[in-house]
Amino acid sequence: MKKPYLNIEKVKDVILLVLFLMTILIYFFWRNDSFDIIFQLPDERIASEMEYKTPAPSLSQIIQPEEISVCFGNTGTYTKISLDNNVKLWQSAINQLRQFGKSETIFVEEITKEIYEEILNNRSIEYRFAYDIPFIQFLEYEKVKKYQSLEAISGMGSLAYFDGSKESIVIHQYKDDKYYRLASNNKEFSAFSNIIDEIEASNYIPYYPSKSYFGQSTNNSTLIPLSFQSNLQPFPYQLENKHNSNHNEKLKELSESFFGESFDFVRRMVDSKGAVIYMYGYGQKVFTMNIDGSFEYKEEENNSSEMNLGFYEALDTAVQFVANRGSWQSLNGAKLTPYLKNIKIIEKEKKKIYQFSFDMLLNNHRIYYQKGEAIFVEIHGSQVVHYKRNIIDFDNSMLNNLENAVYQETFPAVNVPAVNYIHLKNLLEKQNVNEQKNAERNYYLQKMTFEQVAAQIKGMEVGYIRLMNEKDDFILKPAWIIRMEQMDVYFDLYNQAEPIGYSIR
Amino acid sequence: MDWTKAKTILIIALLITNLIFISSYFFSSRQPDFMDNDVTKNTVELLSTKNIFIETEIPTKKRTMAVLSVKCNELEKEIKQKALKEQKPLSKNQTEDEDYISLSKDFIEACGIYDEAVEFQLLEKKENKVYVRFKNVYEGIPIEESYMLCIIEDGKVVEFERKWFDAMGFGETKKKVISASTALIKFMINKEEKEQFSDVEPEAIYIKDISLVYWLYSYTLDHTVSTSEDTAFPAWKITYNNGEIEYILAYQQ
Repeated sequence: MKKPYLNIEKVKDVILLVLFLMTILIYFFWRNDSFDIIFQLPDERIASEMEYKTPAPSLSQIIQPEEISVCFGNTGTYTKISLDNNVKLWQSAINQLRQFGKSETIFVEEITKEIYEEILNNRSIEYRFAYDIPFIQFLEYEKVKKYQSLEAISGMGSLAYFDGSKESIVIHQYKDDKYYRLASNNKEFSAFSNIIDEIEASNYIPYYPSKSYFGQSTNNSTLIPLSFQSNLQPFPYQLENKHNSNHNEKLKELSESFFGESFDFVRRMVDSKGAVIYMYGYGQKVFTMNIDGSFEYKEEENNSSEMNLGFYEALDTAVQFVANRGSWQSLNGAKLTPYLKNIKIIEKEKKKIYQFSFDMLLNNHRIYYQKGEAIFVEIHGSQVVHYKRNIIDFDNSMLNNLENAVYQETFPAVNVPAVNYIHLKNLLEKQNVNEQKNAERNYYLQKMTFEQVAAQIKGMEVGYIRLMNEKDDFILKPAWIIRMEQMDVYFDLYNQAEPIGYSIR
Repeated sequence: MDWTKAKTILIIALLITNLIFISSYFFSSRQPDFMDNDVTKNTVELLSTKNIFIETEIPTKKRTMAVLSVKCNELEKEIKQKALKEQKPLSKNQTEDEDYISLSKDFIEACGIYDEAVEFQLLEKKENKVYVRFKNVYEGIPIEESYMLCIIEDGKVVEFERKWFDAMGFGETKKKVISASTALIKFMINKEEKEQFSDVEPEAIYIKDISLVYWLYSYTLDHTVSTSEDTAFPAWKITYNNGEIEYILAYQQ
């Protein structure tokens, strides 16, 4: 008897289902939406709606000293800390500064360059950056208590501690070449002493001032190792915008990340050389994929550029911008470690302009670009107006071979300038040819002795070189890098230190 | 809970919802017919007060359009030279327009570049030369600034000019384009802006035609780009006075 009733209920169920589906369809029709969205595969929809986001490195990871050097005191021996320990040691220095901030009072006095250099010749540790970090903002960011007396210091280019005065630290501010001593009335930095002790007890590589090798007349304190072993090997790489079917999807994602929903209505051009240009409006936003493998994005200033950001906020904006537009690795995920290479802060019509240059570490060694840098971000106010990336790509499986390569003796560092004296002299001559007082300088350069060339050496590093000229064979070359005033000169790391290129900074 | 009743209520509720959607949709889609007429009428009146007179029909159909990818197609010099050399001239009594058009088409075919996108545009006779121009049309919409021009003298093609883009396909998403009336208002604003900085007495403008086209607009960059591939955007092409042309981008900016 109950059968007809059940049938009606079944019919109702079907009607309900049909009506429900109809409602959804009619709703989209009513909203005048494209029906494509209904039939799109879920993955496609998620991909198109999701903002392109990848992990961003922390600012503490990205701001790291260019060099940490330790002097062991009376022995006249020094060492430089390998880059893989840089971040860790810098973090322990920050922790010490936090302790320092707990002082009752901090005295600040300006000291001379000579005193600063004398300090470094005693048992000491120096953390040297490539740029001035805005000091007060640094204290705020790292939660170190501020004192009014510290406001005299605008930037921290390097920070050093020496055992002779355990209650103080010294700071070199690159701007105006100023040196300060900061002294606490009731705190001591024993942790710094412990760090020096630990390093001394370890199997460190001894370094000596270059004047020890090249003569006191050079008056050059640049640290050079007596002998150095390295596992750096030539490393083949590819351009980040290489084309294959899988990679094209990544390139599309990157392009879309600049234009968001309006990407389908962005003008796409291919220039006669093969560069792909995406342009929004009449050039308000332009994204270019260059044929040399680099990418460049430019944006016209808008209202958001009127609000000025502090240093750390601006740096964070830059870091997030890169993470959301291309990532901090290569598009294919090649494992690289970024660091802040340089900063430039310009003030123009009450607007703060930040220019951040980032480079990459591979196998705990820097990759030196002959031209430019891996990543460049320019911020006007709070708006990113310029972004360039030129990152190498490789298969991560190749990293194991690289990291596990056998250590071998490099060409002796002290001999690199000696066997390349003429080359260095010629480069110095070439670089100075257009400078002021040409005649005088050229006369001087022509007469330049080896000691005078050696006096110009500001640093010696081991790293990978990315040559960016017509001879580029897409292989990172292990090299000795001699840093001179506004110029880096590269030499083969092993084979007779043959010159392999140079770059003007 | 009485599921039977609940189902009945739900069915009724969904029916009502659907009816509301359907009636609302039909109302909104029919509304423009009479509303657009009003807008068009008001636009014409407004323009006439600004010395702009409409001498053509203003399109009222609403459209959604995607961008169009195009690729520059250049003709090799050797092919052109060979076609110029090997063409069969018209006889002396073949002087009708059709004869010139046919000669031009044969010439383009001989170059191997005649396809469904090539459409005859106009024929002009100046002095003793005949100019036959072809336009580039993709899916019924002209691609502007893409043309072929045959210059005929003494019954044969003596010169051939060509700027051609091959359409590679529409973009994935369509977007509403602004109405012709809106484009005319923008045209009027542009004209007023120009007049502000000009000492010349503004002249009356007579709109002869307004139609949708694909347009490769010029732009400003740090450097000049010579493109091999490009993107054409929907634009309203406004032809006025003696064939002067202004393009108004048809996407809402």
